[in-house]
Parts: sequence; structure tokens; C-alpha cells
Amino acid sequence: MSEATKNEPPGLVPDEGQDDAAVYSKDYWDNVFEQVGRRPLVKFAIALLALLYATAVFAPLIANDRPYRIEAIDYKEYGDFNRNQLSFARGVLELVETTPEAFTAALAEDNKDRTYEDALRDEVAAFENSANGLRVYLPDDAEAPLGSIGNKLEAAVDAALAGDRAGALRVAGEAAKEAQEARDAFRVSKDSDGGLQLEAKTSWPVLESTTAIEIFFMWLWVLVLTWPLWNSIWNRIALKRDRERIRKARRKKLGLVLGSSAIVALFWAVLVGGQTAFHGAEYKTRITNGDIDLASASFAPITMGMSESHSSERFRPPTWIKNSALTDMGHYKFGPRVPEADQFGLLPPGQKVEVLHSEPDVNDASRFLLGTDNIGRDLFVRILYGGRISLMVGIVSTVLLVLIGVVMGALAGYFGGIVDILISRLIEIFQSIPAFFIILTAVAIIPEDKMPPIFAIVVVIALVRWTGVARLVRAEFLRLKDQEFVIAAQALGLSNRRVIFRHVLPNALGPVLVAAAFSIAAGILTESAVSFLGFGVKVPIPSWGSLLSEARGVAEYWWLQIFPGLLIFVTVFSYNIVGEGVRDALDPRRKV
Amino acid sequence: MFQYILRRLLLMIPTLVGVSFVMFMLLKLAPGSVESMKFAATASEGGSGDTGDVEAMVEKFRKKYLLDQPNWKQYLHYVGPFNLGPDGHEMWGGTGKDPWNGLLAMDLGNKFLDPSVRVIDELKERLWVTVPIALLSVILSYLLALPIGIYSGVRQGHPLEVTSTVMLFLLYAIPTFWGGLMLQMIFGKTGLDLLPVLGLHDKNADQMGGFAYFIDLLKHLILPILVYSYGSLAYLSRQMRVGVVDTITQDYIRTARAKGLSEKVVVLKHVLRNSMIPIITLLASILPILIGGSIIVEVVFDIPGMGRYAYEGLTYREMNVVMATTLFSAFMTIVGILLSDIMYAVVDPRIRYE
Repeated sequence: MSEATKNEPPGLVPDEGQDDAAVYSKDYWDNVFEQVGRRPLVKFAIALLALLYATAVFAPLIANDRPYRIEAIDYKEYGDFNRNQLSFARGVLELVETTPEAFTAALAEDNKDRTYEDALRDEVAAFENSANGLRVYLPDDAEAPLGSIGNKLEAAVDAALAGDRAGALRVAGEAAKEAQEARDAFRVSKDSDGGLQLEAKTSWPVLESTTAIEIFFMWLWVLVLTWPLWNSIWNRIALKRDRERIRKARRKKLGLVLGSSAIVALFWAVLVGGQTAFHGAEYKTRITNGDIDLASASFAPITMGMSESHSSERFRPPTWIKNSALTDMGHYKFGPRVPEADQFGLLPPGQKVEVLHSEPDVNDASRFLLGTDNIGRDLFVRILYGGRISLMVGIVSTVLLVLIGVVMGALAGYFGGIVDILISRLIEIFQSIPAFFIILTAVAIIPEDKMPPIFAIVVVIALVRWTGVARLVRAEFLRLKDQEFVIAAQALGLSNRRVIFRHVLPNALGPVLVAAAFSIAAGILTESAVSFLGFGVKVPIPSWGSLLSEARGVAEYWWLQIFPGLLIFVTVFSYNIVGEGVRDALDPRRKV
Repeated sequence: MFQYILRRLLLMIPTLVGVSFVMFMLLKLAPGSVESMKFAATASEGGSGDTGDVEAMVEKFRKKYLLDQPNWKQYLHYVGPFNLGPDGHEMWGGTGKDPWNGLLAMDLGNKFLDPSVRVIDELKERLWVTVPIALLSVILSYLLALPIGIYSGVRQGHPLEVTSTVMLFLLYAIPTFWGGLMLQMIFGKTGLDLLPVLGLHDKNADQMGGFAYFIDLLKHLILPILVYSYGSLAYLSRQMRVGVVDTITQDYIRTARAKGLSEKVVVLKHVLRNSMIPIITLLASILPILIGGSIIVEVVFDIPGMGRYAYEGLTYREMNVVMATTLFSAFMTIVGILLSDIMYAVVDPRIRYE
């Protein structure tokens, strides 16, 4: 990577502070950024990683079997609401018929605290919920009975609680009767013409199922990916390319990126949280079957779901390959899996491929970009979602182990003496434990219900592998603690905590950055190895390692083995490049 | 020197005991007991009625292996040297029939699911498979890494050097299990159909003559050894390159060149010895990596070695097997560290141990 920079004429190297260089001194991080920026391969690796993380973060928007937006009448959901409103109205009547004493006596042993009033109110609330569901579909002039039933139920509940049982019974009875009539009046099936005309409902299924945490990362990643743009605008216009001010603004920028993501996520949780999309999730099947009367819908670029199986397309090669072409009967046309006729010249019965709404056609090149697995799930989509697990494990475990390592190393290096001896012995013991064995054992035996395997992997990796970082930090602290600026800070009477974290640590972070890049790669490798052996992530959430684990023993279906491994390889390779690049950038002697 | 080695060897004992304690407690804290696994089959076979019988058997089993005792006592029993069980030493209230037991008495216990099998016997058998393969791989990767590293350190910037450096960097990022799968795909029945991809012998190996048997074994070993060594090869040759680059800029190399020595002598005599220090110290980390890697390689290639033994132990919750394999690999790690310290002193005369 240094070859390229050596041959480059100096004028071509972009350097935003070139004309100011004589005026403003560069600090440590200015130099690091500049050195890293001079290495095209490192920049490429960083861009590749940013892209990989982007696909993981935005996976639900890239591939989803739910539509982004759908305007449709869901007859099944409508029918359920219609049935439910009647049964809840009857529920109120039944409750009114029993006395509060009888109600309390009939309660189950583990539910003794429930009061008669709560039961009544819950039942009415459930009715209102169903009624609201119906109102979405019903034309405005047909909604009147629902309001009347609701009012009567409220009145019945109030009367029952006031002790007027006869009145309550009469009103509740009327409400139940009206609910019965409404049920019959509202009954609509898709095929019946005339009568009641339902209105289409608009909903946003993908967004409604997106959690606040996902939104946090999506917003964060939008800011990260557009960073070169807004950063240069900010630096030029607001900070007037003043190096001193740019340096001071770094913290502000970081705070803005994280803070705005948190605020967006918070808003999301408040505004969208708790909304429900259409009943059920199998939109495509139900649209195809006609259970949903579609007015309009917009789907994700890839309309295959993560765990959506296509039973007639098991082990199908990537569809842009010739051997993947299928006949109308579902037989392969070319390649080793072409069916042979028996002695009577008859072909084995094929399984006709069912193409659901919004899916690419059977032989469309983009139907299954990377083929399908043993139950016909789209491998591309599974790799996309699997990346969320694999990439997350690397980052989170590294953050944890760097935290442990920095604290331990700083304590040992700064205080020395007995603290140093204790921590150094601890490091030695940890280093003689075979890391992979321990991680594998711990993950294999920690019960899933106590701790999800993925969480266990992250924690165990951090607990076993912190020693490397601790040793680096300790060495840096030993080097720095007698230098003038530290002694000056101590002489000013600053607390030990402040000296360690604000004065020494920032100068000791370089080697930690390098170690962190490598340990992210190692974490990803470890997780995939553990999952490959079958002890890690369990179905249905895939990780790249567990996808490979499923592909063991089916070498003839090469796509299942090649692609997940390729992704692991590319990620690990990129992190190694970044680690090497940062190391070279930090160490001017190694520019060979 | 001798004293130093002796002291280090003695220091290994407390470390191993520490590792055994951590592992033992880890295994003990996990649910999913071995007795439920052992008697699940019996209980379902028994069908109707005999549940009382099974319960009695479980009780007897728990008593025999002290599973009904507190954890610390079980651990003491495991470490030994006294047998704390019903047949154990009189001092601990046993019958005295079988007084010695445990790790310190070089006894790693028996398998729970098959009590007639001693774990140490099986481990020895498995090691006869794993250790030769691992050693062969270490030797192979060192033998290849030395010339590659020297070449690329001496000929910096040469197109061939750049290619080989990039190739090795790529190799280094390939996960072992994926590399194994790819080699199986390429060389197995699905690809070129050149090499066997599973096991150590053909099915009809028993009928082969000595030479044919050897050739068959060799063919089975090619892919596993390849997978074992490519990662360490890439790592070692990179480190060797770094060592050579660091050495070649030293003053004494310039002196050697200035006094008219041939390039061959300069490289082989002056550069080589001084640049070997980093990769010799790496022996400490290569050995445990190979032992840890044996799990993956042996599972992928279906080789009945120690790694597969550990894997089976974890799958069936055979506690003694897991303990034995972990302790062995901890032992190997410590031996690796010791070996590299000793080699360090041999290569670099400036280092002396007191």
C-alpha cells in the first residue's frame, strides 16, 4: 500500500490544511488521519466495511416480504374484527349476568387479584379495539351501529358497577343484540357484489415493524455514510478551515451524530411504537390467494423474507446461472439435476413453482440472487440478515474487551507496584488458557434460556481476550507516566482519574486502535467458527457461520458453501487491511 | 539455564490447577446434567411402570460419581490425589479399595456414558492422530515461511514479492473451516475428484499392503495438513518479512556488505539468524492455535483426533472428556511459551536467564 503513495507526486495528495500548515501545528490525530488518508487500499477497505455495515443496518429495507406501503382491504382481518366485536359485546353481557361475588369465586388460583370492574372495562376496551379496526374499512355512513353499541356497553358497565343489575342486564342485552345485527349487516366477502362497499386501508408494514434500535442505527449510518459531505461543508463554511477550530469541533460532531440518532430513535419509539400492521405477516401469499384485495402496494427491492420458504425450489442454484432454469413443470432444463425419463419414457412428476405477488418470475435472473437452501429460503436475504449478527459480534465484543483491557492496563501501568504485579500475573494466567477452547466450552454449556448464545459469545470473547489490549496499554502507560506533561498535570493537583483518562490515555490510544481492528476480525472469525461447529447462533436467526454450518455435507450445492464464507473472508480481510494501515500510519519507522 | 527450566516447569502446576478449577466450575454451573442424558434412553426404553427403577439407578450413579456432593468436594475429588468416593481412601471415609484418584495421580476419570472407558486411554489414542498432524504442519509452515519471508524481505518491491505478499495476506484472512470446505469441494467428488476428503483411511484399508496403506494415509492427510498450515504459514512469513526488513537496515549489515561479502553470505549468515527472533517467539502462539484449530479441522475432515474428541465431549456433555482436552491444550500452550523462551536464549546470545 505504501508503493502507491511513494510514486504519487506530492501535489496530487489532497491535504486540506496545506496552505495553513506553517501556521497551525498538527496534533497526533491530525497526523493519523492524514497518514491513513494517504493509503488508497486502506480507504477502500474502510469504504467497503462502511458499505457492509450499511447493508446490515438497512437489511429490512433492502429485502423484506412485507410491503413498504400497502393500500388494501384485508378480508380476513376485517372478518376477525367483525366476529370479535360480537364476542366482546357478548362477553360484557355474560359478565353482567354473573354477580361480582360469583365472578370472584370463579377466578383461577393464580389470578386472584383481578377485580370485577377490571374485567368489565377490559372487555369494553377490547370491543372498542375491534370496532376501531372495523371503522377503518367501513364507509362512514355505515359506522353508526358501532357507536351505539359502544355507548350501550359503557352504560351497562356503569349501571352494573352502580349496583343496578336489572338496568345493566337490559342495556347489555340490547347491545349484544345490536352487535349480532351489526355482524350480519357487516358480513362481506370478497366475491359478493353490491351491498356494503369497504374502504381500503393504508399501512406501512415495514416501518411499523422497525424497532427504535434499528432506527437509531439507520440514522447513525446515514450520517456516517454522508460524513465526507457534511464534514467538509461544516469545516469550510462554519469553521472557515481553521485547524484549531476543526480540532475543537471533533467532539461536537461526534456528540451531534450520536445525540441526533438517539433523539430520532426516541421519537420513533414514542410515535410509532405499539402500532400494528396488517394482521399476520404472509402478505405475498395472501395477496396472491386473494385474501387481501389490493389497491396499491410498494415492495422492497428484494421481496423475499428471511425465513420465507419456497417448498418447490429447494437447493435451487443462483437464478442467473444456466443450470437454474426450470420448465413450467418445475423440472431443471440443464445441468446435473435434469430428471431422467423412466423405462416407459415418463418423467417424474415435477412440482410447479408458485410465483407469489411481487416476486420475480420463475426464471428471472434476479429471483434468487445467490440460490436457495434446503427448504427454499433465499440465501442472499439470509446472508444479508446474517451479517447483522456476524458484524455486530465483532464490534460489541471488541468494545467490551477494549474497555476491560484499557482499565486493567491503565491501572497496572500508572500505579505500578503491587497493582501491577497482580494484574500482570492475571494477564499471564489468562494468556495460558487456550482461548478458543474456553469460548467454545462456555458457549456450548451456557443454557439458551439463561443467556442467548449470541450474547454469550460476545461476553466470553471479551472476558478471555482482553489481555492483549491490557498489555499494550500498560506498556504505553509505563512509557508515558514519567514524561513532563504527566508530571505537570500531577503537579497541578489533578485527580488520578483525570490524569489517567484526560492526559495519559489519549496519547496511549494509537496501539489500542490497531489492536481493536484486529480483534474485531478475530471476533468475527471466532463467532463464525463457534456457529459453524453448531454451538452458536441457533435457527431461525442466521449468522454467516451458522449458514456455513447448515451447508456442511452438501458440497454439490456449492453456492451454500461459497457465499457466506466469502463474506466472512471479505470482512476479515478489510479489517486486517485497516489494522495494518493504521499501524503503519502510527509508526513512521515502518514506512518501508 | 537448567534451573530456569526446572522452575518454569514447576510453575506450570499451579497454572494448570487454576485452569482446571475455572473449567470445572464452569462445567458444574451449567445445567443439562450427564445423568439425565445417560438415563433418558433407559427411561424411554423401560416404557411403562419402571420409573422407580430408573430413579434408583440415577441415585446410585450420582452417588458413585459424587454428583450429589457439593461442588468443592467434587473438585477435590477430580484433582486428587485422594479418592473421595465410596471406594476411596479410608481417610475420607471410603472402603480403601481404590484410594488414589484424580489429576495429580495422572487419572482423568472415566466416561460417564461408558464407565468402562478411561478418558486418559482414549486421549492418548486420539493424540497419536492429532500430534503428528499438528507437528507436520508446524514444520511445513516454518520450512515454507522462512524462505518466503527472507525473499520478500530482501527483494522489497519486486513484482514477484508484491504478488506473494498480497497472496499471503489474502490467505491469512480465509477462515479455516471455510478453507477446508472449499478444498473439499475442489478436490472431492464434486470437483476434480482427486483426493479423499473424509477420514484417515479408505474403507478397504485393512486389506492393503504396507506401501499401499501408507500412500492411502498420505492422500488422506494432504488436505487436512494444507488447512492446518496455510494460516500459520501466512502469519509466520509476514513476521519473518518484518524481521528481515528490520535487520537489513542495521549498521552491521552495511558493514558486512562494505567489507565485500557476497550477498548470499550476507543474507544467510548475517540477516537470517538475527531476523529469526520474532518468528521463534511465535512458536508459543502457533502451538495452541494448532491445538485449538484441530477441533475445526478434525470436524470438517472427520478425523478421529483430539479436536474431534473435544467436540464429541461437548456435544454429549462428557465432563471428564472436556476437562481432559482443555487441560491438555492449556498444557500445550504453557509448553509453547516455555519452548519459545528457551529458543529465544539460544538464538539471541544477549539474552541470559538466571
